[in-house]
Amino acid sequence: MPLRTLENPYAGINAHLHSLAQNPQAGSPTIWTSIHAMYIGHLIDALNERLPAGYVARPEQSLQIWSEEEESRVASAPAQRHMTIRPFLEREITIPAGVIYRIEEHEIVGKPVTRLELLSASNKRGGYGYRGYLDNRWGALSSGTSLIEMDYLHQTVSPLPGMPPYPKHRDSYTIAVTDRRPRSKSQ
Amino acid sequence: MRLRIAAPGQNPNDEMLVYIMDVDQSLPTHAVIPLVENDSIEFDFEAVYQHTFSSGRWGIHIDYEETPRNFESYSEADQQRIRQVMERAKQEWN
Repeated sequence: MPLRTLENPYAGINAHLHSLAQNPQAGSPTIWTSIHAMYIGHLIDALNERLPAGYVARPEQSLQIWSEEEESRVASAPAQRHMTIRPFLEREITIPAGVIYRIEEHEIVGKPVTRLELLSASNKRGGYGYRGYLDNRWGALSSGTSLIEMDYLHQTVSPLPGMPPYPKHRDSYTIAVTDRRPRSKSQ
Repeated sequence: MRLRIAAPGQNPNDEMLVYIMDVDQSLPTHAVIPLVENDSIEFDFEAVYQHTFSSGRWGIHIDYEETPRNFESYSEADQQRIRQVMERAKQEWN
């Protein structure tokens, strides 16, 4: 008889759920799309409860490149070491990231200051979106935007430079903070 | 929870602050999110994740009598932690 509960018995990431998301049944879509969208939405809500005056968090198109078909394929494959880049994607879909803006007086849009990305399998090393994500990531950093990159999928290797692969040299889940604020001379 | 500094290797002036978590370890509850100049906030990633899990009713898809799919992809230490969580779930909800 199955043992089910709506409470999360894990502290932190639910390994059962995230393994389900990374190993969809053949022909079925991954549930990662829904988990991703809900988590980003709740992150934005929580940020807007805490941000000081003059800041606001909004959903925005992710730096990641994503398609349902490819995400299912990459998610169900073992950690890959070889590049597989497709020249174009037929079924790209939009996924959100959270972006914190600084709003100056009389501004409507404001300036993006920090971006929160929840990494998907297809944008990690070996995925078809890996190179594109690195390019977009570097574009954001070059413009002075700080990055928070959350990696809750253990089966694929982080796209971030210098991050060793799981399970030999790394813990299961990571949150990387790249702070692009100008440093003072005393630091 | 441990903290680790890693060099991204793209720009010598860049550093990453990396929060690292094992299976069955809370996400950071006081993570610092940089804003502009000296502005920053402390943020609770664990609370947001747990809210997402419960409000999305994700537990409806999970059977804690079974190990996770592709169980072998976890390290031995994480496999042990997963078994402990499964045992905990049995004692609490069976």
